[in-house]
Amino acid sequence: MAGELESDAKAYEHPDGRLKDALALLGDALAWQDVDVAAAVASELLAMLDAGADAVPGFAAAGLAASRLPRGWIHRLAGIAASYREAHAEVAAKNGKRQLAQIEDAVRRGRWVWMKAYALARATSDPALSARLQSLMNALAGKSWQSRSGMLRTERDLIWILRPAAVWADWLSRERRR
Amino acid sequence: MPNERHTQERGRRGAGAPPGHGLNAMAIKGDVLSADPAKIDTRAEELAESIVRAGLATSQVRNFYGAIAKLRAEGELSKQLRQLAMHRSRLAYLTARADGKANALWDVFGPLLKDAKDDEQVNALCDFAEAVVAYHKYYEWQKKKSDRGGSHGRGE
Repeated sequence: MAGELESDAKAYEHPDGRLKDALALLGDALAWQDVDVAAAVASELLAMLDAGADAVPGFAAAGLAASRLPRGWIHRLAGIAASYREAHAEVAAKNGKRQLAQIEDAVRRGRWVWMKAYALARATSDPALSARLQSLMNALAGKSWQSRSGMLRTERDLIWILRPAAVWADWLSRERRR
Repeated sequence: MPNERHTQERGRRGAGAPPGHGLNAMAIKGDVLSADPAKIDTRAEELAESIVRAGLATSQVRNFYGAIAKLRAEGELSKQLRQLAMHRSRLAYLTARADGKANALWDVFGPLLKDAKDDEQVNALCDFAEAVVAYHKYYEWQKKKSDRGGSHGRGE
C-alpha cells in the first residue's frame, strides 16, 4: 500500500512534463504546491462547518459566519468532485494523447458545474456564509483562489484538489465530534 | 395549445423573426442531442436564465422535471420514447397554462422531446432537463438575492 502510494507520487506528471516532486495524500498524488492548497481548502471547509479555527495546523481560517453549513455538505462537495473526476477520466480515455491542459479545458463545463450551482443555491440563507462559500465554489474551475490568508495558486484546477480537501475535512471533523 | 399561440405570435413578429426569449431552439437541440456534457451545461444555463427572467415558478419547473426523472429510471428505450411523446403533451398543457412564462421551455423541449431517438440522445435530454432545473434554482436564488439588495454577480 505504502509502496503503491510512493510509486504514484513518483509517477506524478506535472503540467510542464516534469515527474516526481509530489506527495501521495488521501488517495491522490498531488504536487507540493497543491498539497498546501488542499490544506487551506480543508481548513476553510471546516471553518464553514463548525465554530472552530486552526483545524489544519498552519492553515487557520478565521472570520467565521454566524451560521454554519451542515456536515453533509462535505459529502455533497465530494459528489461534485467525483462527477468532475468522472468527466476528466472519460475525456482522457477518449484521447490519451491529450495534454492535461486540454483535458482541463474540456471539462470546465459539464455535470459537476450544474451540480455545484444547485448545491450553492440551496446551501444557506446566511448572506455572509453564502458569500464565503460562493468565493470558494467560483474558484473551482480555475487555478487560483483568494483564500482568507491570501491568493493561492494551484498547478491543477482547484476542482481536482477538492476531493482530497473534502476527505481531509471529513476526517478532521469526525475527530472533533468525539 | 402553445404551438397555436406561438404561430400567432410569430405571425405578429413576422416570418423568421426570433421568438421573444431570443434563444435559438434549433441550435440548442443540436448541442443537446450531440450529448456533449459541456454543451449541455452551457445551453441549460442559457435556457434556465431565460425562464427565470420570464418568471416561471419553481413548482412548474419541478412538475416538468418529475416525469423526466421517472423516465430515466425506465430501462427500455421503446417505453422511454413513448413516455417522452406523452410528456410533450403535458409540456404543451403546462405551457398553455403558464401565461407565456413557459414559452422558452416549450420552444426548446418541444422539438427535443420529439427528436431524441436513441439511448444516448434520451440520456442527453434527461441530463439537459436536470441541468435546467439546477440552473433555474440557481438563477432564482440569484434573483432573490438581487431583489433583497444582495450580490448581483452571476457567481459562475
